[in-house]
Amino acid sequence: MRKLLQQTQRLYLMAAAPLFLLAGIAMFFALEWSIKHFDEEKMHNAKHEIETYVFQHDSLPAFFQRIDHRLYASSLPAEITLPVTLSDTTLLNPLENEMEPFLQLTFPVQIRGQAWRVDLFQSSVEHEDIAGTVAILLVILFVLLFGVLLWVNRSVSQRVWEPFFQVLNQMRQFRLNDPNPLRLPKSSVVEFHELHRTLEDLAEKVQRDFRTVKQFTENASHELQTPLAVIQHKIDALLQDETLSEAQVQQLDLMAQNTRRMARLNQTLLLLVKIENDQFAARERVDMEPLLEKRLRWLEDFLMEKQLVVQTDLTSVSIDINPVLAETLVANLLTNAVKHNLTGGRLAVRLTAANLIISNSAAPPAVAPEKLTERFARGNSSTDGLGLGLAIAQEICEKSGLVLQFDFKNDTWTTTLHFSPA
Amino acid sequence: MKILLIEDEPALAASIQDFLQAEGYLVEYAADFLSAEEKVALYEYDCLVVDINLPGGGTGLDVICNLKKQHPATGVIIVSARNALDDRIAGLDFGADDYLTKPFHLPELNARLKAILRRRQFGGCTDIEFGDIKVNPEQHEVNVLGQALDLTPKEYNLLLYFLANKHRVLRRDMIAEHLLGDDVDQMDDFNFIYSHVKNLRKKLMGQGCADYIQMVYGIGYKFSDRKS
Repeated sequence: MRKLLQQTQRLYLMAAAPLFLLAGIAMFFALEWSIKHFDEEKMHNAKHEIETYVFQHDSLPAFFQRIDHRLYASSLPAEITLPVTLSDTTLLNPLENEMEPFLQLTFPVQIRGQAWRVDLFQSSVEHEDIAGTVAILLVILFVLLFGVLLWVNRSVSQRVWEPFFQVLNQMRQFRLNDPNPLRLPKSSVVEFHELHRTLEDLAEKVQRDFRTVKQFTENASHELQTPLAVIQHKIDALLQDETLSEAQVQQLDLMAQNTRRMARLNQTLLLLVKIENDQFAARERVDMEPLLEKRLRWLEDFLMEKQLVVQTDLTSVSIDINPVLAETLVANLLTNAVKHNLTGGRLAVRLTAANLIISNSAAPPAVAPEKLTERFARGNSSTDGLGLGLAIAQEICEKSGLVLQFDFKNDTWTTTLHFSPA
Repeated sequence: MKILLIEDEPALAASIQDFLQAEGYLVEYAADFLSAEEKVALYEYDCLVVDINLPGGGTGLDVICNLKKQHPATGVIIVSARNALDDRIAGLDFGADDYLTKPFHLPELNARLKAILRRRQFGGCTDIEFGDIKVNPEQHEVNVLGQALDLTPKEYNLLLYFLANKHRVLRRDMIAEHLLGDDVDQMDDFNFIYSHVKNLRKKLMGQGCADYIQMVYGIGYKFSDRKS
């Protein structure tokens, strides 16, 4: 993951590098050409000067013998006509004792009736020198450009992107079941304005869909109640027939059990929707101790049936919660601890000012602990639980500002309910 | 016994009506608020079974309120959705005798109805008699062949449920729900019913009572003096 700024800078760099290279090559040739052109012009001027001098004095000038300018003259046989030629050559620089590039202009002159060949040499600039200069120039430019770009980007982007990060923050806090629509701050920047409007529209649509789904669940559950009740009643009525065979009775019982399961699923979904809809919003101080005691008493038959060893360590602790939700939460957690317990297992309930810890013996769960609160997640496929108990517990905790935590270690399942977020 | 059933779901109402009529009650039926109001104003009933949510401008609570002004002696059972705690509290405040959450089993309604009618009609002084057994609900006393029998609260409750639903097959989950309430639907395993029934039967027969509790193919029980 890279930051947007780094990304753009990288792109700039990638685009600029070949561009600078091309520019460098072009500059090299342009520079070389213009220098050569200038040099040639200079040589032709020199030729003209020499010819003028020869014409006036009928002898060769002496001032041309320098390190970078040399003049050689040699007599020519009369029958040879010498063309004017310009060529590149190298000569030894006696000061540096190395070969250097020179331009050579060869042309004929007439001195005192005799034809002479004049070789005019002029030192020209080395290719490496041009290339080096160009390279240095370009590197300096490149570094300068990027330094400035970096600095401008850094300082500007923080200011320019500030609304973006604000929106990001707001989106993080966005909740699907928030009854209020998402409102993002007004922005005078077109892009941000569009982003905000799109996000607002999207949020509204998502919230509307969510409400529709919830509404549907509620309506469907409500509508299912009557047919389920009627089926239950009719199965019961059929069971009263004394002429039924054992197999028929067993089948009817199976139907009844499954109808019961469906009715329970329906009830549970309805409860979940009601909790999500904040129909249990009114909170009061609820003492958890009597709730736990009452539920443990209620579970007495099941505790005995499973021969569980129960350990309790309770103190009076009041928390801010809706009383119905508190009861449901305690019921769900304790019921789970009993239902998923092993025969002859252990059940320990500890209530302190900070948390409620319920631990029970259990077979290793088939699902990761953090996945258990998802709807229809079952820790163990052998039980015919709905997989909604912990989803409800989780929903209640979210609504009530409690934190639920699960852990499985040494064949013991531990559920911890933290009364205040850590 | 005359019952007014106020329920807006016709299919459910028909199902309840069939059952109550088979149990020997005279059942009238109102599907909405207005017809319920009309019936309550015109006739006298022994007990009302009222759904809280009604179409037609008023709730079941309004019906109860009006009923209690004219016929305070009439019994009332409220039927309402689960977790509607407010309905329950309001209903009992208005003078309802009992409260059932949907969906409920008909033998449960039957047991509650019988308890209310007993209290209402006879001031709670009537004993329930069945064969060798005599129960005084007011005193929570059970007599077998004239001798007092000591039962745990759950066994007593179980016996009353059996007595209210004589000659009927009662499935184990229905019995569990009667003993422990709606919350029992969170549990899957109702084997504990077996030990309660076993203990009750042992105590009854230990005092020379005939064996009325018949096991029905492992799915439940039937309390009856008829041979099946």
